Amino acid sequence: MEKHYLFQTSGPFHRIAFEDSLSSIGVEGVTYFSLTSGEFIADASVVAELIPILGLLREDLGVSISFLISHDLGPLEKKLLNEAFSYYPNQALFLSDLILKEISFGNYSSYPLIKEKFDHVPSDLMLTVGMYLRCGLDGKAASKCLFIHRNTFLYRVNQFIEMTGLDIRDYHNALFLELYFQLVSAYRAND
Amino acid sequence: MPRTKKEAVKTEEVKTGEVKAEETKTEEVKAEAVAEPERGYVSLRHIDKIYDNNVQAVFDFNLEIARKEFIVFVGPSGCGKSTTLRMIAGLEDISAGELWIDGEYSNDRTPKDRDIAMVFQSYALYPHMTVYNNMAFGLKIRHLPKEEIDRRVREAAKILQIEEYLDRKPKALSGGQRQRVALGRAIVRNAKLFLMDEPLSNLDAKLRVQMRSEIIKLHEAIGATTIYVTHDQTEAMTMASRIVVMKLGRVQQIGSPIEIYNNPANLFVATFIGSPSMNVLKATYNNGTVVLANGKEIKLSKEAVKAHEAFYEAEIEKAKAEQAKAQADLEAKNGKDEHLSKVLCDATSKLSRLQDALDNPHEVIYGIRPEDIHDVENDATHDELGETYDINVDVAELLGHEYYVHTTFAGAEMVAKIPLVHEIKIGDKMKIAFAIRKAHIFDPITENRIY
Repeated sequence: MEKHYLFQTSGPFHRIAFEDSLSSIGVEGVTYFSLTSGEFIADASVVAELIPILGLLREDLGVSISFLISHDLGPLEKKLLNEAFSYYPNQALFLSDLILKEISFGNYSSYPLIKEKFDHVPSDLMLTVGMYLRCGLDGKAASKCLFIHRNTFLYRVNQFIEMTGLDIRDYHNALFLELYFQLVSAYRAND
Repeated sequence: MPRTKKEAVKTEEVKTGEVKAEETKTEEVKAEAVAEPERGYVSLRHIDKIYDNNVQAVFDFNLEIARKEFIVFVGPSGCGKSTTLRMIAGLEDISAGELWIDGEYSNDRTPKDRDIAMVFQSYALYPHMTVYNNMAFGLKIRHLPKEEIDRRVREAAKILQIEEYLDRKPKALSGGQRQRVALGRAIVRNAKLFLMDEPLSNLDAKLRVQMRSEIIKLHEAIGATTIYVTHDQTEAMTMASRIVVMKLGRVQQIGSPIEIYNNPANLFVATFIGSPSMNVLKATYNNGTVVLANGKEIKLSKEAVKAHEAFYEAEIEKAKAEQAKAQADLEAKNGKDEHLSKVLCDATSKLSRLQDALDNPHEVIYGIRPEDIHDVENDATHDELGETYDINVDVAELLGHEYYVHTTFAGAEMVAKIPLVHEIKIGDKMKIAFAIRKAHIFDPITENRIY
């Protein structure tokens, strides 16, 4: 499963060396947004190779560097990349990690941007994926709870993935969706 | 505890592909940072670390480190040793205090400008680069000439005895070899200061012993000032020129291994350093005699009695000053402050207890190290021994040349190191005696060492 690996550094750095070190973990094709930020797209499993070399990157490149790993690149991701760099330098964090940290400090500023990602999704699809999470990502159990055929269930999940780009069969993606549901629930309770 | 005010203003200009970063500090910080330390290649003065959630991890850390010293920060998990190391490295901000490295104020210098090399517990290496390239990579980025890079890499490889592995990739190396390559990456940088954060923790026990001596030899060969963090007191004792013992963010004692071992400042240092730990027995001090919980009496030397008097006299003076301050603070609030009333009450009660201790029998803690407990019938020691006690052996652990004999004595579990002269079994009866001049007495409330 592919992920966006967004990064931000404390200053300009040696790009060729950076790309060489990423090549050493099988990453090719870095896109730069600025002198201090950019992204590459790679398999979700690359994070396991990236985390051990974060300290090496910092030492060799001479800059602090933070990574945000997401299914998408949008305003939410850019906001959270800034936060990752400001508060959690020299770490590789998932979208869900940062949202959880925000919530734990009572900060719900990302909610509008998160909500934007799901506003256009029809309610039957949201219901279906919500049940999928409730059933612990067990499709058979979710179909049963929804009284729908398994094929209908799979169709709806695929529709959701196509509309949002969020493949909830991945743990971190599923967690991100769960956090969205929890935030919605909290906001409704306060209304 | 208040934080120093710092404002860093960065402006970035992109000009012909170059970026300039400008920082300005407040006048307050500039004024504070005028005086250079009188001594110390690395100087830490009143360093605090307070996180955003107001949790304080390091309190008033002060240390002067001379060139080429091998300093070890040791303490249990969470004591602030790694946090302090990371502040020296520039990986964590310093909340308050000053850090000086080689005569330069370094609080706000970036890690790369501090000219330090770090070695971590994880001994991370680029997985698909050879050992040679792992060591050379950082130097290539710095545009060193190819010949110079080659010279440094091969020299470091020779010191570390990894020359034959230069063409291998990390997955073809053992843990110890990888750790040596990680050390090699640090050595080739010719950094002024080496910072090592538990580099041996991931190695098995046998390899740890081997690598310990290799790091010591490396330090002798290179002569770099080294700050080493560990939770292992054996590593601290065997490697350090000086040890900094920490607990809950505070320095407990700084000294050479032998000073820390023979003259621990308090009960924590006494029981943390040394393996097995110092035995601690509850006792009562009565006019020059320590009475253990089982009624056994140990007459103290004149030296010990004098130390006892001096200790409590000094503590009384401190307590009087605390009481006077608490009184003054409360009067300033016209006596109407619940917290200050409590502080005064506590200070008064402490003073009263200390005055009582000077003149009357009072509780103490009697500490005796396992190696200072002797088998009276078989141990030919030169130490002055006290009264002979009969004990039952609960457990006898044979280490090859000695036993760790576990017993219950004066209501507490006690361990004695007994040289192997004959077999000792569970249930055996033994006659032991303490080397009384080697024992220590601690105050049970402050836990500071009296003698």
